[in-house]
Amino acid sequence: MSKKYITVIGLEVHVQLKTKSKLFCSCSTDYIGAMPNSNVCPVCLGLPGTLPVLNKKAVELALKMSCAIGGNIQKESRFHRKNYFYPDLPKAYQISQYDRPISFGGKIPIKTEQGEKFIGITRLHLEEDAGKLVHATLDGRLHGSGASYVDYNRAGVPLIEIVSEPQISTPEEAKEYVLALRKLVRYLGVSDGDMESGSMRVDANISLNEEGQPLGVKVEIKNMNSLRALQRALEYEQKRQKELLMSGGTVVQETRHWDDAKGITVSSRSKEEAHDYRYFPDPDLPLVVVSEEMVEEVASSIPELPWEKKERYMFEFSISEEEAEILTSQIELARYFENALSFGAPVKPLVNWMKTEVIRSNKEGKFNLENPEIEAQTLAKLIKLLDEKKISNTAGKDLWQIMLDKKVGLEEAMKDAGIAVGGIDDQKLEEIVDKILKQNQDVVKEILEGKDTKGKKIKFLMGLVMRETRGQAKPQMVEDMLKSKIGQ
Amino acid sequence: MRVTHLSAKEISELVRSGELKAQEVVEAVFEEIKSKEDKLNALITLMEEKAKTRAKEIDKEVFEGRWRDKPLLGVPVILKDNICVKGYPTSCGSKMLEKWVSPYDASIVTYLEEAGAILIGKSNMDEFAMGSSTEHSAFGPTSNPWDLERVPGGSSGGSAASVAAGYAPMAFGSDTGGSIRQPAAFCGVHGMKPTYGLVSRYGLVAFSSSLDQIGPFTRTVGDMALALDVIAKHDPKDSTCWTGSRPSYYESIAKGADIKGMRVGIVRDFMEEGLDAELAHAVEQGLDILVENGAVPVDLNLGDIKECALPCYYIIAPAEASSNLARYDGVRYGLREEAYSLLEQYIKTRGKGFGDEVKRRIMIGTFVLSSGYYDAYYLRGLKVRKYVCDKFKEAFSKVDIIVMPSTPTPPFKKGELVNDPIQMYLSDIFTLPVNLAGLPGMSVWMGQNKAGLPKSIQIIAPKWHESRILRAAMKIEEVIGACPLAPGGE
Amino acid sequence: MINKEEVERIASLIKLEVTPEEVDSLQSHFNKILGYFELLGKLPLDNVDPFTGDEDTVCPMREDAVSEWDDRETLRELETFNEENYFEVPSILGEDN
Repeated sequence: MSKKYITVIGLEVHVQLKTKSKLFCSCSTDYIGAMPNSNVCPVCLGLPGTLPVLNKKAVELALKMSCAIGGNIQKESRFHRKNYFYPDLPKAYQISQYDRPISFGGKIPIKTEQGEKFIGITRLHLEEDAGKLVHATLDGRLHGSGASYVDYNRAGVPLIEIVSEPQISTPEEAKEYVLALRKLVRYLGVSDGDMESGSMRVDANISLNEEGQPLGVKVEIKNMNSLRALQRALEYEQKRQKELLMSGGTVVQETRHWDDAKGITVSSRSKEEAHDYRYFPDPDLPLVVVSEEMVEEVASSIPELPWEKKERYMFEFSISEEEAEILTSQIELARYFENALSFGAPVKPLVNWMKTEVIRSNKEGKFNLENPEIEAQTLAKLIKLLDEKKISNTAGKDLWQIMLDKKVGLEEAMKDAGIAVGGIDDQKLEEIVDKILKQNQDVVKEILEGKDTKGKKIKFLMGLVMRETRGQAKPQMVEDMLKSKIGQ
Repeated sequence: MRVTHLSAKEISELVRSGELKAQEVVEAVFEEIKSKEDKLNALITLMEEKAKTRAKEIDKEVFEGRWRDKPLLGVPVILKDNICVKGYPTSCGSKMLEKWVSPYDASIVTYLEEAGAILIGKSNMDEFAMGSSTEHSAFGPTSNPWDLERVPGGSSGGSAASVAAGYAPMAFGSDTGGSIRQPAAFCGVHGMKPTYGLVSRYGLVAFSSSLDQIGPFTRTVGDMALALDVIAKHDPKDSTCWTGSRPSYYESIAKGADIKGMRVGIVRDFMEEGLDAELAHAVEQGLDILVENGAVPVDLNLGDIKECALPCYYIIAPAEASSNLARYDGVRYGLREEAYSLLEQYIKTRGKGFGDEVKRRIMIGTFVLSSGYYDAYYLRGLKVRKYVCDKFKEAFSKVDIIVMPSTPTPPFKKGELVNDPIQMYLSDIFTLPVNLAGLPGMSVWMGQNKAGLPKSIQIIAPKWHESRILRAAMKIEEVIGACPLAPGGE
Repeated sequence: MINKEEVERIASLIKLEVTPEEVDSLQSHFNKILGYFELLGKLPLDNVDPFTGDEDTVCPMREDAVSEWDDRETLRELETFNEENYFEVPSILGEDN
């Protein structure tokens, strides 16, 4: 009988905060694409004699995140030094938080196959980022040995680290948790939450244990640069550990790196040297005291959270969970939706429009949600026309496209497409009918010769006219006009 | 009139009135330095060109009627070589930083230049400020200008010797466990460690961040007040710098110091074993002078402070130092020993760049923070520190100032203690508690002993009460006199 | 008492090359100073909370504004700084610090 194993996963997520300047100095945080070592100063280079000065905005953003997850904000927190040597760490210690972080506790709801589940948060703390290493095996100066290059542009960029409780049970849940976090940091404007560019980085702890047995030995996995990598790495590790255990082996407590190309995790050191970071309170930074006013101000700046919004949409608009999920996937999308609603767009057709046209155009790069090319008010007008059947669905899509392509307003787009409210006007219809008749004189001739006994030929001409009018004309009117023009 | 005998106050007044040119001051100073420096080895870097250019600029500004409100106009000053001056090496007395040129100015450098001072050199020191004799310098030991066979104290020995020898009327050092007050006592000058947080540490190369404080050496109490007025400012670049407003220190003594009713504590326990008899007498003499001027003596008990300060200090300071000095790894600046691997580069660079005393201390510091020992040592050290603070707090509810010895002995001979680190540590036994409690303390000149060596006492006050110390020191100076130039090195 | 291995372990934590003679002298220094630390055991410290007290200072916070360091060119004077604006170190690929 095969044994049943339980997987226990905890995640440590590092999120770069969206501040203008670094955590402890006034250098810019905008390092992507910058010349190496151009966003640096004596402080973030750790030159002798320099001292850190805390960025208020970073504290506010950390508090904002703490508030949103329902963390217990600490009135007093402290920075510690985490001591270790690595070339990307200019002072040979990282200023981080240890036993007195910004907040303890909190939770994040995720969607699982079984429904909703809450993942507990252990703690949230502030710390500084390290620089970046570039490896090259150039013609090293020392007899062919390669060199590594260090760029300190990223050194000192503010991070929050969010440590989850070991309450994640599957790689899928891990992915959902990170997705929820990402959505949240973006909602709050705390971070880009972009894993590929490194503004959100995830380390995982995973262990397996037999049902009813104590927790197993945990392995830390690093270097997962996408959600897919996270899921794959955890699946791989889950399988590896299970096979090990089932074959009577034991799991070694170690750090393993995810090799995305090979799809495996690799032990990152031969002998596991226990780190001794010698944490102690940073004497350069007194106790951080968060005032009531500061917390209140931050709390009042918290928008409706993604999961709250989703619930409300489902309840208030009677839409499906899937639809609500889509609408709340990005705060900008939700904001656009809510704006269009406020201009009187009816819900159902608007939801349809959002999840098809808006999302498609956004994916195609034609529609920017943050700064919409088509104002919510305009969308509302369009939806109303559609809803009142004043224009056809095809016409609506055409107008949306024209507004995007030609960057014009609704009225101009209608003129451009020859679309009028309430359908096509008589004069325009007459022009089209005349044009079609002219182009199809042979058909007209056959009708006049009495060959259209089954009425197929007149239907054919009607089809052509209707197509030309983008379906705006009333069929009876077209038929009447055709017949009278042909002279029947 | 010999320029090198003048006080900072006198120089600034003469330069201001045009009677003395800043350029003459600079010339005289460098002449003095050149005639004595072979014997003293008090300076690591001379800033002659910069000083001359600066003096010329001052003379021009004064001639044209400007800059006359500057308190240190034309005053030559010397900085310990752990205070960063842009464009000049800041070696910290170490091979590690021998060639490192600072690309920025320490905040106090800015303050001094704004006040019209002329930087003339960087002084010798124990490596990274760890030591009490200035023998632990990669640039050789400094001699005591009172007796060239003896040490000037340390770690700011170069600054103390410079002021005693007449290189400048004012120099700056840093004091982590006595590194200003002990060399001041040994060299016969006044030296003050201000309250922790009174003076910006930005640009002071850190030894122990929670204890380090920059302070002045001068030959008169007036100059001490003048120096404090210039450097004691709130600096937003130092998060530990006090935001409160500082009084005018010079004003507090300018109209004659009044100490009537001032309660002066004396700790009899400190006067017992291990203290040189003449230095013990100097403390009594100091107290007598104050009492004669209306002060009230109070016997104090400071518990076990004297016994516990040393071990407490040698836990906390090395712990912080082990972290502060970790950045010297050869990756960015300073010494780099080329190697095939990074690890080799690290250990070779650090093995070669640091001297014995630095190695001893960062090893101990690493040990007390390392896993398994943190609670027994580091945490206990913090608790003892709190105990020391509380004892002083209690004491200062009964007295306004405390007088005590600066050092247990007069200056010792070179080589005498260099191989006995713990005996060397004991020479800071009276200064360490003051750093642990973050209090201001000043070594005050008390004349010479029978052997002709300087005597000194220490006056300490509650936090932010430097003015009290200055007033008391002023009364003593009225009796004992200002610090004379030392005879040595001529 | 601290043994030699312990001294070497501490040295490796802070990347310090120590010769056998240095290990000896450090060991003896360690044992002397640790003897000194024993004194601290005698004090009544059980109820002392080292993290409270008359801390006059709370951590100040600065506004989030960018200012560029205008002296970056001085980095070029460092020997460790290369023409591509990087600090160069021996390859650390495959090396665990």
